[in-house]
Amino acid sequence: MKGGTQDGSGRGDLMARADVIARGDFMARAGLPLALGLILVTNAVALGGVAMNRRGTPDAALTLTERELPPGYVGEEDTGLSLRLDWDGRAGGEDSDDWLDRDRLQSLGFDCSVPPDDPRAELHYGKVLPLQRYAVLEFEGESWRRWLADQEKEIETLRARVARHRETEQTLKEREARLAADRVGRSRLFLVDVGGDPADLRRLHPDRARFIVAPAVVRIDFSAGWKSPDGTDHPPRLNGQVSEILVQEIHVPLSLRPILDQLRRADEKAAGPAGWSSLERRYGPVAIHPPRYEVILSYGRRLEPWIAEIRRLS
Amino acid sequence: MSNPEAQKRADRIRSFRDELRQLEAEEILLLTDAQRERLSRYHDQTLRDLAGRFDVDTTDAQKQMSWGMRIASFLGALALCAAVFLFFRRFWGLLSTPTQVAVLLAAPILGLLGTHLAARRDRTLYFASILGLVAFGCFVLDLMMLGDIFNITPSPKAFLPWAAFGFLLAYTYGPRILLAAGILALSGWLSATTGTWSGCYWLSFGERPENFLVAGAVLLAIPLVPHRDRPDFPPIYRIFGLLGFFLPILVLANWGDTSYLMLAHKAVESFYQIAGFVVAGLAIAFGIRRGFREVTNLGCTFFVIDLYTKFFDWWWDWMPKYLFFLILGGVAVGLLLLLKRLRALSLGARPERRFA
Repeated sequence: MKGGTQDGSGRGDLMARADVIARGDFMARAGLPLALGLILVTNAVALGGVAMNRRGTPDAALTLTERELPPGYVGEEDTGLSLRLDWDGRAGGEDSDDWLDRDRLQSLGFDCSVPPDDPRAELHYGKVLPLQRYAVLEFEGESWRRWLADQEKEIETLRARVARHRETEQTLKEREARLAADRVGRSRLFLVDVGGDPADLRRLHPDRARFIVAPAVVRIDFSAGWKSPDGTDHPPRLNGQVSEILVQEIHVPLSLRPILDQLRRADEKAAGPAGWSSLERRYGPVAIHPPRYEVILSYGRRLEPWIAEIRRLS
Repeated sequence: MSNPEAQKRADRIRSFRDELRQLEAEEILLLTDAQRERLSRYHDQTLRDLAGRFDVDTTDAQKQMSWGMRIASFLGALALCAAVFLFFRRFWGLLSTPTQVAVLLAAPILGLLGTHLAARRDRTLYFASILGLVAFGCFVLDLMMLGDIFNITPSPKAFLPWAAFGFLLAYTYGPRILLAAGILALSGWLSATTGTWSGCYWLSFGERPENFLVAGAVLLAIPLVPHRDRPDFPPIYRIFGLLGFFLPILVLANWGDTSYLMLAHKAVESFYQIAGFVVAGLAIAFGIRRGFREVTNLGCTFFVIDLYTKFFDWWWDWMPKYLFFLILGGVAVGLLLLLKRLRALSLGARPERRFA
């Protein structure tokens, strides 16, 4: 036992005991109110942040559909419901993989001082951790049109190969069917920009009904140079990718659920007991039917989203 | 006087009585009947007081029962936390947003009031431990679900109020399990904050085990503040603080590519393998010197784990298995002999520690 003083003086011992009693009393008296205060203050801060986010004109307000906001994963014994923000990471066009190049990554705050062909590059870039920055998503804009054009070009190439008997008719038909399904069912949200300052990004993309600025995680992707069996040299590649938009599952409040609940019941009737709970719903292909609802999705001052309205589409 | 101090006093009285009986049987010390009677009355009265005020165990059977009750209360608290979490998930979709917020806010408050009442009514603190851990779980659920309901960007800041709540409950009511909860939350915040110093996204902090070293150092420093009214808390800080060193070092000694160090992963692994032995050795020496049993035990445990991991790397693939395990057994015996010698040296040098 370590109570009391080491020198054994009675006065020191008494003082130590008095100190113990005083502090014990303090926690006995103040512990409960302090803990209650902590709960209340923490909740007030969290809810204050929510109120601040939603005050005034939203940073963005877009009318999306089931294509961009399909139902999220519904766990077993979970009555909550969320919509999942579905977006495509490619900027579209020829440079879709390389648009986040070394200079751009450097400007985002990554240490790209080592050239990709330097022998130290593999070790250096293998140690780089992801950063939280801001991404811009464009809805049904130039990127979507570029993406469609790319698909049509691919199909044209495939058609030419079929004419030369280097591909089968069946492959072409499947590819055409997939594009037809994408035209009515695929998300039209595309990543178009990344930056460190959301205000700068908003200045560059001012249309608040078409562009979302949201916190995102950016990662470096480095692949060392290699030689293919035919002797072709593949130089080392350094580029980045947005791996995650930070709020992708958007909660649906009870007041906005009726339309979704109706659709859910209908889907469950058609799909069997698994319905929206099935993993396929989460990881499987995007539904190929035309969208059945539209959603007004707002982003507030803290770039946090909320669902303002859900409407049924005929 | 705290509960652990009262328990130590009761244990000392029992030991003293046993020893006195032995001394009298060997006729080394003979008390008069009056002295024996007075001493016995004094000890009986002291034990009654301690049992009345602190509900201490005064027999071996009671002690064993207490351990069982402690384990039962810990498992019960975990099960109740899971029940609260799953109950909320089962029904939250049926509640409007204001009702969800009200339920989330009310749950930790009710848990806290329950803990307070249980601590006042039951001196053993078993029920206070259960309700305290449930209150802590409700507070964690509260902030997590507010984040989900209002689509709040994830942040490590939530760890701070969780840690503060755990510490407040522990220092007010005394259960060490709540201190452990607070320590884990504080470690989460410190490690995530250390990770963001390097600029990385906070949820990546686990990808660099070195981030946990700062938390370990802070936890080891906390017992430097006197804990005279909570003498059972410093060992808990020391255990978690040392784990904050030993576990990252163990991971880095085997997976060097997860380190911040700009060295080839084999070099990193070698560095941390040596560091593992050095830190474990220092912990053993420090624990013996200061009489911190938990520090010595943890140091020994990780010294052996580091050693066995190394043996596995070196020999498992090519050595006959019987020989591998024979060497492990031999090393264990060698370590026992070494520790026995250290113990003897320590007892010889510091005889006053023998009865500490």
